Amino acid sequence: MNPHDAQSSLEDIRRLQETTKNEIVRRSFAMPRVIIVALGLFVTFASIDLETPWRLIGGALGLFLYVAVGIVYEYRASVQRQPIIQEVLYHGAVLIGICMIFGVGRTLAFALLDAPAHGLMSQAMFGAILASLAYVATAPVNRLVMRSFVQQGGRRS
Amino acid sequence: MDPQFDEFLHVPARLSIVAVLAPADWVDFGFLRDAIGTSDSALSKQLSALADAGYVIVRKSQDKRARRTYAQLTPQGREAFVRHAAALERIVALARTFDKQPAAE
Repeated sequence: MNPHDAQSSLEDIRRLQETTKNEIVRRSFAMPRVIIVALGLFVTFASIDLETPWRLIGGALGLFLYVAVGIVYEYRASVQRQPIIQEVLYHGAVLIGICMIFGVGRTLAFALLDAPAHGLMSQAMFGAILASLAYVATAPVNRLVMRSFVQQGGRRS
Repeated sequence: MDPQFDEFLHVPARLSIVAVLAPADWVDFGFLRDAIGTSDSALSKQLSALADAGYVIVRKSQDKRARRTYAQLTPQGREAFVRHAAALERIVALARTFDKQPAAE
């Protein structure tokens, strides 16, 4: 084995590993998936100020969209991988951040637009719009964070 | 030759398969084929060789639309890959040391 061949093999290994890692990241925050998750968040948040049973139906539908898109994408993924603990924590933090943005949106709707506390065009609706837009807008950042997690995970191999 | 160098794994097609599998748990046959740029039959042959050596596990699942095949590195395969990559790194590092020596003198 001459050093040139060894170097060439190492470069091939790195290139092929990047192919797998790129697929993991691409799949995790694919735009259709981000949009469906945002729709799930929107429906869940927007239904908070509705009357029963619409509140329950909206909440269940939103949660279903949020969970189902994750399951379907992972099931159909070409590259399957167990998430590392930091990833799970990060997703939890993103969700908490989105809930906080919803709260801010709701407060702003009350303070600036004098939106009602109940009904379709309520404070929750404005909060839901802000939260779901924030989720879509932060997708590129989330993708970058995900890439760093995948690189970390890749070091074990 | 470095004692960690794995002649069996160093066959380019096998090393490519293992490199694609390493960052993941399970990899779809079609993705693997496209990533390394080979044919179905050549990939099947190399996967069988790797499975016989205990480096890879192959799983077949029935989707609603199609039959899907996935491959995964075994702990033994992962360990062999890490050892082999380290051996390659050492060969390159050793050559660099020899290259630098005349300049240092």
